[in-house]
Amino acid sequence: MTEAAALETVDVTCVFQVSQGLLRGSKPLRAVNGVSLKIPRGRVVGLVGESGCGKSTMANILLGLQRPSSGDVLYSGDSAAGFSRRQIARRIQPIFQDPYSSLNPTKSIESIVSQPLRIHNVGAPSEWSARVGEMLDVVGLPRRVASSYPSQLSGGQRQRVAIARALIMRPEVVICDEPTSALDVSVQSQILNLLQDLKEEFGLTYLLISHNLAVVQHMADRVAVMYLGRIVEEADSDTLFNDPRHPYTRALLGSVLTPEPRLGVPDTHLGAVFPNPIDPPPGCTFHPRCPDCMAICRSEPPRPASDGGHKTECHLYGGAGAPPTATHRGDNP
Amino acid sequence: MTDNSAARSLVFRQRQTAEEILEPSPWSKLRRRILGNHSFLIGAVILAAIFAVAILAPLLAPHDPYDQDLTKRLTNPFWHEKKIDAAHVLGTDKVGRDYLSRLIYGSQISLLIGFSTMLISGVIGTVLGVTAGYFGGRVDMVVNFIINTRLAMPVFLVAMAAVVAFGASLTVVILVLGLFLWDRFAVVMRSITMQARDLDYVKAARAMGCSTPYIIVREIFPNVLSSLTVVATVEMANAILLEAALSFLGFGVQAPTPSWGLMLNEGREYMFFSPWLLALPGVCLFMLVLAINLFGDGLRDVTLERER
Amino acid sequence: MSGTILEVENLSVDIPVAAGMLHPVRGIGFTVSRGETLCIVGESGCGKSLTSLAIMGLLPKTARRNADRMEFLGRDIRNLREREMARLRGGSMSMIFQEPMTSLNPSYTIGNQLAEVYLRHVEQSRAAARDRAVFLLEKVGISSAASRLGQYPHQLSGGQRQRVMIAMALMCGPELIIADEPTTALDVTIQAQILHLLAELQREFRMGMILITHDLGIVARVADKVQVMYAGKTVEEGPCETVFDAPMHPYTQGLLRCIPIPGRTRRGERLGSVPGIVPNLVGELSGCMFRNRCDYASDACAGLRDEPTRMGDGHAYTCLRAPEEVLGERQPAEAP
Repeated sequence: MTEAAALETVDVTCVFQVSQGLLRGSKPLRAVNGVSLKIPRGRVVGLVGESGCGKSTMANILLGLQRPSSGDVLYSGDSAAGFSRRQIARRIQPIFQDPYSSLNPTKSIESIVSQPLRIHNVGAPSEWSARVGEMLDVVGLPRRVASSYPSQLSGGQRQRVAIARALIMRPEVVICDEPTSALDVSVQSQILNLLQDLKEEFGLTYLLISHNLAVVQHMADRVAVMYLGRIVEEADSDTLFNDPRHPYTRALLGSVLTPEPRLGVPDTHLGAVFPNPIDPPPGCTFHPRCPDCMAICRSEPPRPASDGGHKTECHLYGGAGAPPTATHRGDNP
Repeated sequence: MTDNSAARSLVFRQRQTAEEILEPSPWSKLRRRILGNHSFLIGAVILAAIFAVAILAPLLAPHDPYDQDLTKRLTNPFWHEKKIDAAHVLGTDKVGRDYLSRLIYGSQISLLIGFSTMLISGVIGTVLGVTAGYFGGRVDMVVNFIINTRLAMPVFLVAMAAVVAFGASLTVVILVLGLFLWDRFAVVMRSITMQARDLDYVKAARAMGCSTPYIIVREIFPNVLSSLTVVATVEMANAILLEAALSFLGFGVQAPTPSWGLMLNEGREYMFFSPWLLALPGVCLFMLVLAINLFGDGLRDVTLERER
Repeated sequence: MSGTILEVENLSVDIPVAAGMLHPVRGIGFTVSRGETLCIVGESGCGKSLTSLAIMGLLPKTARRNADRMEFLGRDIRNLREREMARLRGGSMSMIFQEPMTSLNPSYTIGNQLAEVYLRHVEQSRAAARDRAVFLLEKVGISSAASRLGQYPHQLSGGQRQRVMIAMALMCGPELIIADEPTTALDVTIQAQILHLLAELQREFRMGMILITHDLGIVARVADKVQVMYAGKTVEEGPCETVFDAPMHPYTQGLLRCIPIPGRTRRGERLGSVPGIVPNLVGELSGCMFRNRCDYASDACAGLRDEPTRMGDGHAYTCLRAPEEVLGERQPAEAP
């Protein structure tokens, strides 16, 4: 736990005003609601949650594309306030889910991969082509794709191009937003292997955003589970997968369908639907879907409790494993 | 462990053999589609011919289009004469000007109007549309208001009023049309930019630290270009027809400039005895507009397929 | 017991394209019995979706369909007219699509859409249709079903829409359900719920089901029978447990090695992969189409015929490798 954080958020909140129609004004949507997450250098942190839980907003905040409403992002311990967008861009790069929309169809692969060099004026233009070639080698693409266009490549090849573009500036942190979910099974594993290789080769730090827990478990050292803008559980990968505490984490784990026959489809007991984030339920936001819901959950938001490195935000574990009491006042800023 | 090393060699081999590129390049595909698209080809050929005529007008026209010869008024075109009059193949008009020369020079006016109107309205509409589409929110609301205001004004009446106020001239017609025909550009560019803005490559460019103008010009613009050219052809045809209509009504280009619309107006009086005075400029207009539309339609088929 | 609902033999689909004739499906055969789930699994471009469309008679106009046999409830459906086919579709044979957002008409209420299917196929009173709709909406786990009938699709979440789609597919008591990637657009938790629901309903109504997916996890959990497709052909088929426990075809083996399994694969361990890409299916094709990506490929593979090696209990694979050879090497590989 003493490792230096390459990237850290401190109590980050991001509120959007959502228009309710012409005359009804707008309501606040707390996409991210007080998240503190530390991404240690050289590690892989997984961020897991359903769509609408705020993980994409988190990615945008970390990339400097979205200014948090409150809280701070620390790059190697320094506040985001001291960085320009271009400086952030040199440290952090994204890899997106859909390799079909992440590459500009009108540009050649060489132009796409060398774009960061051009934007940041790195080296002489005469060297760019060679750097692109090296980068293509690194991601396992033949150099001749440099002159082709995205529409000529398969999904896996495109994702490799996107990775080459993200890494050509040698960033410290790569935010992988569902890097494999749009790909075929056989290609998925190639991309995951590649990401592993590159991590070793360049000493990268990853934030892996995914809903596929099998992938997260395979890649991540530490996992944070997000629900409605808050991190409800965070622990080292082994701890979290062996000893999931929050009922939501348990449901998520139960929903993973591994290719093991005879197990059938588990019943996750997540009865109700994902709540509307504009109008979150009172108390613990998870209570309408929670199989272990208690009276207190309906009225009071749980406070974060930490047990070693295992953080949980649930009344079942309120006060570091102590039985829940009604004395907590959930006063989150 | 054997499993693992086997897997490693697999990856190694995968990097060596890599995946071959099966798809032809988008440009060669585009070329193939252009060659397979008849309406595009026909439109392009006619358009190129009219262009050539307009540019080479001084060389092609047998006479000065303004030269009057009152001794030779309203002579017939060649198909009404036993002996072809080599000096006036298509005859002369009511003041004895060579009709062929006037038709040839008329193409210059039509193309000039079409192009300059398209350019002016294209710039206005694209700037407004792209700005609204990219920034959204309040900017979008303001632009939408401007678009709606513009749509509430009847082009034709405003153009006539402007001509009355500022006097009729080629410049006034071009400016009036240019300042009024941008609505379609704005609407189309706005919606396409909105779609493009949310694509991941735009987000990637932002995450790369690109400035907003760079993103709009270098990332978004090339991807809306094909739609832009399609709208541009439609507007060009529209502008040419509007000019002809304005000139026909006397609110456009003024005599003695050889505009096809004006020639239609002048030929009106002789409709029954010399119908070709109407028919010839009419056919020219028709061919030009048809060619532009065929070209635009073909262009849409050829390019939009590339994007999907 | 003659529980067979659908029987397909040597089904192929040809689509003329600019470069020649595309052969996306090249001789597929299977049977589905009452209460049985057949999973067709494969990667994009293997022809699995076209197979389902071919059965439903929903292929694009230019496509040509050929089959030695296509019998649904003992009736030959190869040459049925469009009107008769339409009567089958949504009636005794219904389909669930991937995208619940686009498969429901946004301008009609849920109740209207559910009732319409019923009235078109079963022709009873509106009241009966309504009762059935409420009954099924409750069955698929939609709370306060009666009040939901007046809602529009956009008022529901993705998972709920997929539930409505399932209810709609069940309206006329179908014998066969064809589900094409029914959960791909959904979150994992919702995916598990929907699959759980589908499996339960299928057991209850004793329907046959064809589930088309690329996700081997789903296949393993819901299938009775598995059919692995590659480049328009079945490369391996058999009972679910057998195929997953002892995959015989190099492609099936490769796919299974690609997937991280919590508890089995170690963190950061290199995953297996299937290098290369799917071959182009235009023009004359012969031999094993997997040979350019296969570890065991030899010159003989170019001459592979469509004669599957049968292993008993319906397990069969189309590959030149002998069963002894495949099974023989599995032991040492898994031992350490």
